[in-house]
Amino acid sequence: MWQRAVAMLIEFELIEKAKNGDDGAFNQVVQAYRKRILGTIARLIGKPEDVEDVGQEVFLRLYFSLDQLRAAEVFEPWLYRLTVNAAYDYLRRQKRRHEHRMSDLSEQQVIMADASAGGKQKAEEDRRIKVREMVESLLGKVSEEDRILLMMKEVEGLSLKELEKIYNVNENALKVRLFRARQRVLKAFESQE
Amino acid sequence: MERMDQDGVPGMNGGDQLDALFAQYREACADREASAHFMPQLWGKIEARRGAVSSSWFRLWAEVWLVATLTLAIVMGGILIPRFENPPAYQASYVDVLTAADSVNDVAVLPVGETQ
Repeated sequence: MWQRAVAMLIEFELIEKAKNGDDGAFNQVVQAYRKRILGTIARLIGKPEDVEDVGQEVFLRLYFSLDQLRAAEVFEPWLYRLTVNAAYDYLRRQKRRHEHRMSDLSEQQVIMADASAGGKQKAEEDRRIKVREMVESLLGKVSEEDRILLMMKEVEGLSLKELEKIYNVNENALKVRLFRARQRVLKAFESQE
Repeated sequence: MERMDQDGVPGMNGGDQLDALFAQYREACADREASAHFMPQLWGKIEARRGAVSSSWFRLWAEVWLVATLTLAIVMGGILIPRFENPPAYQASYVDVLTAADSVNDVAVLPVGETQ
């Protein structure tokens, strides 16, 4: 199974500086992580037009909670926890993910699809849209909490140890929850054959 | 819905196909760059929240002072009002009190044995 290469994008020292109120250091932290976090949010919420808004919410929460960070070593799980919480809050607010279909594509996606007119490029974009649609539809079979958990494990490639730190629950409980969620998705996937 | 690329791949069970689908999804939704407005908007939100936090601190302090002042006023009222309502019941004049004190002192300064 795919697993994300675990690499800190910044030095612990920079996190300590940001923690001590250095705005310049915080700016560097955001710049280092924003691409990864925005990517994660895009996959979690499936609404490209709202990704930056949710991303800003994540970094806003980070800014005002950084003083509660125990050690720089746990920064990444901390940031992922904030990301998961912000995405979950967003999904709860929206309650519209079941209607996320081709007809519901954002303007940006439609423009991108139009722009990529012409043979192979268009076919590739169509395939991506189908993949996104299919995964969104499958993940619609589980609760929002399980959807996010599955995404973090299966798509983001976080290990159980990392998820344990993010969710603050023991590994066995996570395994059970993941197994059940995956079984439900798998069942839906097989029924689509 | 139609299966994706892994259709008909021999030896792939449902779980493997699902993993492959997740991998395709990851590739279809690659990490994205932020727009040019991302950082200015973020700092704008931070400043707005900072302002809200400091004004809420000011409000909290004002409330604390108000409560402390009211409490002090109630306590002072509790102590002082009964005093005004029930003035001390001294009926004797200052001269009477002084005379009484002097007579006690007179007795106290007499040498031992001369009291009678």
